[in-house]
Amino acid sequence: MNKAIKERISALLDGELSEFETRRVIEEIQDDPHLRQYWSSLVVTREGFKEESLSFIENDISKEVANELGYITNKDEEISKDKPVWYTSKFNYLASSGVFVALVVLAFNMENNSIENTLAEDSFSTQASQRIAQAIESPEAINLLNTAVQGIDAKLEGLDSSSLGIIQANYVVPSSGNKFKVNLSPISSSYDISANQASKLVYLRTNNGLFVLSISGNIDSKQKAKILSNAAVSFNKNK
Amino acid sequence: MQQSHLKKISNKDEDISLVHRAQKGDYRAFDLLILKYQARIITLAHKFVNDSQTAEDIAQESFIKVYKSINSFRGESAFFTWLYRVTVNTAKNYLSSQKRKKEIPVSDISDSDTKDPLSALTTESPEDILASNNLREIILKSFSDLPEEIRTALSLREFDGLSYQDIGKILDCPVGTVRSRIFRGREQIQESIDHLLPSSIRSRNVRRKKE
Repeated sequence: MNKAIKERISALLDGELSEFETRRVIEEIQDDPHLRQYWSSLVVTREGFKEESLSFIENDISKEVANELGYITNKDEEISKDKPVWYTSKFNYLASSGVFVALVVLAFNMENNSIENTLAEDSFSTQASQRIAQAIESPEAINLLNTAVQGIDAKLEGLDSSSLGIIQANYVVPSSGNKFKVNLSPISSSYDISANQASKLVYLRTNNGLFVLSISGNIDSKQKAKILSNAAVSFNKNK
Repeated sequence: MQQSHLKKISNKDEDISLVHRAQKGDYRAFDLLILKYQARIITLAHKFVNDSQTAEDIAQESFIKVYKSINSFRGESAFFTWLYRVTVNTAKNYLSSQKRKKEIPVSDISDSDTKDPLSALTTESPEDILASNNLREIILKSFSDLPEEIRTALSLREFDGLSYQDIGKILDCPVGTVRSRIFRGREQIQESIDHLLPSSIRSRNVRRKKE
């Protein structure tokens, strides 16, 4: 675990991150459940300065609460091991039904031109939900995903989405167990596009704004480049 | 315990960015808030019902109520103040239900009352004190062993509740330096208590696995 992310988590505990940074840290915690544990351990450290009791630090009700609110499917599931607490059964369904692929194509099928740095505040999620039924049936959708991960030893594990229109597909490499994620988001809700991340991104401009396709997680740079390249090629073919 | 005479400068709700994320439907942010406050909320509920399992149930119910009403939170008080108030009322409702009294709906629990609830968290049972004394002592001992510049920054944060910006003004250093010093202080303290933490949150496991 690198110190930079730990320092940001420490700052988040103090409410010293911007909302933008907060969102990024949350995404990083999602990528690595051990960071969630780190958050909990920082909480304990901090509680030691207070007068209140530390008697209940071993009690963890987060799974029960998440379960009651419908954010996990199996109460006995060890959230910290494999799946984040917000993982739900509907994502399994979505993954198996190819919704993610459909959404990618839905975005890509919107008329596109060249890359730019700003975009209108159109809601991708609204667009997607309105047209999702048609998109699911799109044969181009399947083709796009197949093309994007072509040559990559990866299996689609699940799908996540947010109200901000961010779609995230979770993959596992069966041979190594390594996991990585492919995110598609409107640039208005995308990650910090800093110089050191540039190689993990591809920008796709549509009439409904600029979208970002990014890859994160345990995957080497060659494979990342291959997926991005495949996606871009497929995108251009579907114009 | 060390107490500073400095007056708290910042009244900013340190949880507001996580609350805003939760209000936008990001449950992951709310999950972090649960992890942050669950021990305090269970402790609070326990003071009412004096039973650990019931206290957990009340804490769960309180977090669920808060999440379901998160969009009604207007930030007029700190998030924890609101959570605290919901828990108190949930516990009272539980006790009332034992006496067949009318429940207080969560909608009646406003976050506009800014009275600090922490003052009520002052009584500990002898069992609580015994259970937590060792951990707290080690934390404070480790804190006192920190290098002065780190200890001062952490002290201004933990005991005085100052923002990084205010600490930077006092110590005449950039906010980034404040952030780094506080982090380093916490890291050192954490190393000293690691063996006392539940295995599920032990940072040593994390380091072994990741480094």
